[in-house]
Amino acid sequence: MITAETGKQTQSKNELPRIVFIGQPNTGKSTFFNRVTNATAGVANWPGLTVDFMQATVEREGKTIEFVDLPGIYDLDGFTEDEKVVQDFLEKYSFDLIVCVINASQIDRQILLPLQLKKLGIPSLVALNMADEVKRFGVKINTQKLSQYLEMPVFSISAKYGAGCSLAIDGIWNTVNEITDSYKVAELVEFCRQNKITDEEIQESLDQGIEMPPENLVTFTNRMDAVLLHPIFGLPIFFLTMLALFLFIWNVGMPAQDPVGDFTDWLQETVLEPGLSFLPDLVKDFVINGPYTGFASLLGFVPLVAFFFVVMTALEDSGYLSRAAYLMDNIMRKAGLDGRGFVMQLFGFGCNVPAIMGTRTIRSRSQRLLSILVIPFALCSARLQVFVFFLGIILPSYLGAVALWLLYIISFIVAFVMAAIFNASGQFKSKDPFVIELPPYRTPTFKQVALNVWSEMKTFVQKLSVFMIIGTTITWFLTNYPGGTEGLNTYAGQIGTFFQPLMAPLGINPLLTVSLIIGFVAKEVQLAAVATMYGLGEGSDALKTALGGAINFQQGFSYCLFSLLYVPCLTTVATIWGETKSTRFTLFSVTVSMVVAWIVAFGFYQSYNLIFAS
Amino acid sequence: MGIRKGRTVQVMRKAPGGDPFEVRVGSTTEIAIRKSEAALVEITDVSDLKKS
Repeated sequence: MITAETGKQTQSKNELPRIVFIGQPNTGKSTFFNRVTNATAGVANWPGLTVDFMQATVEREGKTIEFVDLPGIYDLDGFTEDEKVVQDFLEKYSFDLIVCVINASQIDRQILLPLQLKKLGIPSLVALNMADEVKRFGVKINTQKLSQYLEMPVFSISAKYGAGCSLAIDGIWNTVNEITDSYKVAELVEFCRQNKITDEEIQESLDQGIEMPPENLVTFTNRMDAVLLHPIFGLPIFFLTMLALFLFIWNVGMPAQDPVGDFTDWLQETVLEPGLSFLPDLVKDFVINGPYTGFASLLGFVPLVAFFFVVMTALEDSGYLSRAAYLMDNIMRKAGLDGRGFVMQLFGFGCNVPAIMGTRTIRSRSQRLLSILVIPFALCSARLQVFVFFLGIILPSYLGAVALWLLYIISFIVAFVMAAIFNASGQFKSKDPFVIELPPYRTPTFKQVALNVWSEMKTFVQKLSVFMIIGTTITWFLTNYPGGTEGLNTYAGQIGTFFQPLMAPLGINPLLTVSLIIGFVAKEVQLAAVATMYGLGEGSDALKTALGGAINFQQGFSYCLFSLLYVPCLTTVATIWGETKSTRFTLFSVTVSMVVAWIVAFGFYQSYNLIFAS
Repeated sequence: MGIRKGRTVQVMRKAPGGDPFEVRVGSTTEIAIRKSEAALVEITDVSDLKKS
């Protein structure tokens, strides 16, 4: 039932009062949400909705409340993907109170959502966030007057620094205590479209004691942007910044992986192996080289991924990431990618996993999927080991370095070309217009970054463990069965032999094919697999000599090309699946990388033979 | 994004290659917008603002 004046529908009371957070993107909504829920929120899946939200139940003075953080939206009757999610939620699930978070320094445009809530007649509360920026900009707001006009409680807060937060949180609990019903807005979009907020209404609300600064205001951010977004120097500065960040991750983040590796090795040697000695050898071998290896390699990723997240969160919070999108848009648009996709592609050269997770900053889902599809082509540090090893064998001179450099170039070109191809297919066309907010420069706070990284790492390990364990279990089975066999006689070897008609035209022999199959798990294991297949010690001179005799340059380079372009590792696949929640897309991504790897390696090997070897 | 009737918009600068634009809407909101989408905004000149 929709009453004449309002859009709300009264429901029977929710068992737990449910408070829903809404607000525009970049308003610090989630930061405030974390304060309200004491950072206890976890990811929750709601049936019928395509996106997960953060959700928490909080107990206070014997009363329990459920809090839900919805995606950022500009308009309750908007058309973007995130707006549809919010509309679906408010139409399907009943709630008790809406907390609308606003960047108060932009109240002249952000007042829209509270006005819509007022018209809908839903119990709401407004949090005017970024009190510090309000002061800096010289915006003046009379909260009392505004509260009377909106007919809802209004609190001024700084979610980042904590000012006013405890008052606002008390306000939320007190307001909920007074609410006796739960609500739903069955025809939210319909109602909002028929009852549009007019320009006059916005003006009227702004006349309630709100003063905006003059339009020719020059802020610190403007002075920074004059340099950082300079039409000529902006791009070089951006590339230098990226280089600096990259060197930082390389020199500090990469070595951080070693202690974790040492720890899991130690755990295996001193706890697992003796502890499992009562078991038959086969079972012991299975536990250690199957599930445990999967879990250990996932754990090995944690320091690096965490490190990337620190840099990425800081980059995003500072406001520079949006500016990177602005600077790179002209170039990236040609491939149909969001400018932020470029930054993530760069990060992919360190490790594909955090880069794929970082695509969350891209708001349009189709653009995000396109980025996720091409990031795995980025030559990550793990693949680098494979190349250094193989190029050292086939091109021992300085030419090895040239070939490595060539692989980096190929990696970038393939990503760009593939994006352009998929973009041209029209499937990944963004339906949302390209408009990005360029927020003022902000100093990321340690607490915020740490909280974000911590919660990301928690979900990373929780979500992907199962996937990794299944993957390594399957590989263990393939490389150890049928019982008592080795090398080409195992199932993996048989698969390698089976695929030989497909791999021979690439110059890749059955032994190396098996290493590629095992390399599916991780590139670190791929080199070990090469050693196992040749029955020689990993990295030993004997292995290098044997390989040097077995393969020529074009075969070796073809192997490198294939390793560069096909699935980087199981963790990447698991991340793609975790981020997109689509098995179909994950399979698609794996298929694309295999096909591209095959075509490029085939093209190289055949044309090389045609030109030089005949 | 807050562009509505009666608001002032100022082009602050252009990105390398001349597109997109950095535009200030009102006094405290700055956005990046592509030429093609900026073309949809109807404007009348209030150039006295630019001088200051």
